[in-house]
Amino acid sequence: MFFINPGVTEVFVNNIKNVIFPETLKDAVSALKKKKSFFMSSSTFSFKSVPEGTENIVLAKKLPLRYVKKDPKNLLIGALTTFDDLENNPLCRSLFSGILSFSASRCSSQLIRNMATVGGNIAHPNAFNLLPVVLTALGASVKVALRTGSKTVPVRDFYSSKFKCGTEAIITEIQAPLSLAKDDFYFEKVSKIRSSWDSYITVAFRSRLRNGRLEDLKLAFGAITAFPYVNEALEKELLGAELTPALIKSVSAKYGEAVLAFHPASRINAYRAELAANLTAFYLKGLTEKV
Amino acid sequence: MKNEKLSLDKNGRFEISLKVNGKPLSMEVKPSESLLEALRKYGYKGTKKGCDTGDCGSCAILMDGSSRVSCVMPAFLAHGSEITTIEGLGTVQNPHAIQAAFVEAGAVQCGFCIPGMIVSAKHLLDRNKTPGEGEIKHHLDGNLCRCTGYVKQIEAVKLAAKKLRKSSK
Ligand SMILES: Cc1cc2nc3c(=O)[nH]c(=O)nc-3n(C[C@H](O)[C@H](O)[C@H](O)COP(=O)(O)OP(=O)(O)OC[C@H]3O[C@@H](n4cnc5c(N)ncnc54)[C@H](O)[C@@H]3O)c2cc1C
Repeated sequence: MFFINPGVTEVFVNNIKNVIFPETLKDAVSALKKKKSFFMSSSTFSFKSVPEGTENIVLAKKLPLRYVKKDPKNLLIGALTTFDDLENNPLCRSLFSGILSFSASRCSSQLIRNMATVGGNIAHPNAFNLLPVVLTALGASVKVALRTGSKTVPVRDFYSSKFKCGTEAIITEIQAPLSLAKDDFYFEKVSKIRSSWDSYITVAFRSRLRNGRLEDLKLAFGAITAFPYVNEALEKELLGAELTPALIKSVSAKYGEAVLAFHPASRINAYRAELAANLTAFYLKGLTEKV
Repeated sequence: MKNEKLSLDKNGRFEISLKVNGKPLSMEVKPSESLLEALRKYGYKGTKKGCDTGDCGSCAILMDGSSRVSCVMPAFLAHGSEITTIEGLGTVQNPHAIQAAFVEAGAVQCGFCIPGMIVSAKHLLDRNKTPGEGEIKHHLDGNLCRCTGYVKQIEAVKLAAKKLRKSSK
């Protein structure tokens, strides 16, 4: 298996001279200031793809970023929280229909879930990354520490913000708005085997019904491109409308067509497109039963 | 406050300090060496090298109490940690209840995956004394076995749970 980490060479080069264990975020950011430095959390994805020429490894191990807690507005998840933490945390289990907990349980295997961190999962865009899709549906934001201070950006803008994660920027926290905690959520990962990290498709859906109509909605699809796929035009067709069988059929088919258009000649993608259409239809039909 | 730092010595090695199976140990490791390679170099050969990509679980160890794969982890990351390998659980003469259960249940064929499975089972039973079948399967989902059908191992973990509950009474 190959480890693909965009922007870095896929060869481990034996140039590392120092390993630093900062205990505060301030120290971690300033350790990254040194040229040829690279930030490492649990290493599941980075050990064999450290950028060529790296001399200093800044290890996250001692940073106080492993927590799940609430403030009045958000659920706050520290960047060193593992998938196992997410799966078993009572807040993650109870809020947002438990989507954080359930989706984390579908990340690879227990041995990886015990290691893999939230920060490492969203640092770089990759089609197999599970969390960005879920966080998109949650309307979450990512807090990042930079040399110039900290910034918080919505997940949907995170990759276009072009943070140089791991070399300049450190993800410190995820913030998921509690105002959406009671919405309806749905997650599915369709993969060859349960514990595989690749999936044909991953979906994370969120909706809120009022008087039988969709008041709010986010349909996020993963494994299609490196970024979560969202189609705002199709979401608009659904918002405020009555969920009739005809509308569900038409919108689901359009999702299928949109996904197919990414790689029209690929058989796997044809299957993915079918899944996108069917899962959308399945979810929307389920909502009509709740009315 | 001064942050801890490891620097390469003149032989191109880091000196890391950790505890392995309860004993303090200092290891000389290359930056590119995985924890798996380092452990095997220092004689902990019960930890097996399988896929080397984190997929098969034969290199599982306990790090600070939780089960992890040691092949995708640089050895330097274990600096300051407590590691438990299969050797730390029991011996042939005095096996751990989980080891005994695996033998009793006939869960071992070629045996290559078994140290990893037992380490995963240890982590599970440390945090859940009465796991159901679903929980056992979920917890051992990263331990691949190419000989058996994953039936006897599940039975073995159930048996081990029983043994451990009995012995703690
Ligand atoms: C066998 C196996 C199976 C896997 N299965 C899945 C799967 O099913 N689903 C899935 O989504 N992923 C999967 N992964 C990928 C990986 O485990 C996850 O992406 C994991 O969350 C990475 O976290 P980490 O702490 O190990 O990151 P690291 O490997 O330490 O880092 C990964 C990258 O992110 C950067 N980084 C890490 N933390 C931060 C931070 N806080 N701020 C800024 N940059 C940071 C690093 O510099 C590096 O470039 C799998 C990996 C393996 C080895």
